[in-house]
Amino acid sequence: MAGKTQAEMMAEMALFRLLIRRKYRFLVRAIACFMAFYFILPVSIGLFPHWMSLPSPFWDLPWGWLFAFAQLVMTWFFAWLYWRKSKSFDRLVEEIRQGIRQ
Amino acid sequence: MNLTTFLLFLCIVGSTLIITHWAAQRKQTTHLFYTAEGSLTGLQNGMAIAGDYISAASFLGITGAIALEGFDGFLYSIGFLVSYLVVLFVVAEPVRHLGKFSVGDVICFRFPGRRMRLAMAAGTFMISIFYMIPQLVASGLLIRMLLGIDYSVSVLVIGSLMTVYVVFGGMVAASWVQIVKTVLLMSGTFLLSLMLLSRFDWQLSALLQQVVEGTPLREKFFLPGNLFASPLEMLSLNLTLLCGTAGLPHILIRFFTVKDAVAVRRSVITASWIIGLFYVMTLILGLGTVALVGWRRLMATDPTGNLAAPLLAEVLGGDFLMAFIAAIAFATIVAVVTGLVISATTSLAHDVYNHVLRGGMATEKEQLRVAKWTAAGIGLISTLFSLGLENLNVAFLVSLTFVVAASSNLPTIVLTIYWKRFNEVGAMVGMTSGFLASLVLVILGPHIMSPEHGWIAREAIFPLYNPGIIAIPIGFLGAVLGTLLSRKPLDQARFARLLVRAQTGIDPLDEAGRRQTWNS
Repeated sequence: MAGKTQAEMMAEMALFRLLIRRKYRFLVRAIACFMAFYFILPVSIGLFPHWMSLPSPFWDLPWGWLFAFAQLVMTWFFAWLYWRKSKSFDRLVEEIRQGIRQ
Repeated sequence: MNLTTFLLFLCIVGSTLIITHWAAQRKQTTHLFYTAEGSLTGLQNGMAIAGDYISAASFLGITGAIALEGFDGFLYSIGFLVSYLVVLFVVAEPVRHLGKFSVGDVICFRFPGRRMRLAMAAGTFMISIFYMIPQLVASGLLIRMLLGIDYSVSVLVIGSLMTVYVVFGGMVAASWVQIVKTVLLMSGTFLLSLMLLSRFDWQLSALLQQVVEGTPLREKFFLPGNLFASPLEMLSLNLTLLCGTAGLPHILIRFFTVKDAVAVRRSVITASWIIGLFYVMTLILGLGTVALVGWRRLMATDPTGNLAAPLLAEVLGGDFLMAFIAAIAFATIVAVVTGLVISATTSLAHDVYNHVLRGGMATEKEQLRVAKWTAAGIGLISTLFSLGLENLNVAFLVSLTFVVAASSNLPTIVLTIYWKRFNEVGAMVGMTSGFLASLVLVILGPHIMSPEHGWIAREAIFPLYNPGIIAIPIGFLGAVLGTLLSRKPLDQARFARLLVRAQTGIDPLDEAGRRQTWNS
């Protein structure tokens, strides 16, 4: 069927494969980073409550609080990173679209 | 209820009904009813997502949890926020590109057929209803506590309002009710935070000193371990919160209300800023409650802590401010349940009626009529259910909703979008195993089995309140094993079409590549 052929042909386009490779590499790395950062908080509080209660060098804020606030910053940072990275993916998508039209 | 409170409530009800009237004036189509014709901007949709997501449990419950338990209460809100990264990175754009009106559309893009459509509709419907009933029950109890209005009257008012918004205004009215709620909630909590900080001459240290004096936990208030006794419970809760949002159908269908992928990104990022800033303010309000209201008075008024924010408002600004905060809590509840009615309606009217019963061939007029009657039916039935559940503890349903979303919906959505070998049997097994694991573990857990306050008066067999740490892997494992053991042949062409469309928005079936998405 023509539709299926078109789909498979598009999926095999060099530009599309490049997009998928770059996008997935970015997604896997970013997701691994923010998940690790996120889970370190409950794990460290659960396993090392005493250490997490000690004051940090930043305004004497206990490490637990500092880490909890850092999660907010981390969320906004990764959201910004996604926004920024997506622009380069959008450019690739536009090139793919132009390629199909020609 | 005094006159001030009555007038404030009237303002909210009046303005939302004007919105509904305005929405009802437009030419009614299914696109308008289910998705507002994709006409929202990213900023508006982000505000609506925040309005859909921040429930009374977040506003009143987390402020109370921080006031009673300190640090651990704040920890709860972190998971709610970070979950938006999973939404943004994993599901938001593909869902927008693949779906039309419902999450069922996304899965059926790859696995078309009535069986799959019905399974997705059942999952969406159950999640929406499981979430809606406790919200309605809590709203009745809360408004009774806040204003002294009878439980049945409160539930009837909120149930009627949510039904009217959806039946007459569809997604347009629901979205704008949620946007208004977000503006009210953010401005109310911001005002309260400013008044609180000014009371302490903007000295955070003075506030913290007062907090230590106001709580029996003393310095321990600021240390972990007051709410979560077991590290495993904390980990399981965090995992469930992180994964749950990306499986909630009422959040996912909001991505169909914007025109393209850029607007989807902007929606999630806007929502994450609003939700993050909101939780920072709930922290300030929680601390302020301990400092100014005091732990003893809070516990004496309501041991669950839900009245922390209204009590603080009363101390800071008297009856008027308390009435204002109560009105905001009311708007909060109404906005959330309205989003759930839309989501449940989509699953029944679009997925079940149009696709399963009519094979996708129902006319526009028929679909619209059925959607409106379905919304009315869902509103009526859930209100009647909630009226009968006044004396039952249904709070566990909220936790069940998140676990089911994370262990049943999320594995199916993620593997459908990203795993080439995934097949229909895997999707069915994943959905069923995740759902059953969640249900069984919640029933065997301390929410239901407890010698003091459980439905089953005996020791819990499963020790965790939040079974996500077991149920989520079961959901994923079920999906993977179902796929591998069924050995169905791989449909290369269909996956290629899904992959291209999910990652670019281009539909390869259109040979010129110009028809990019369903809406454009």
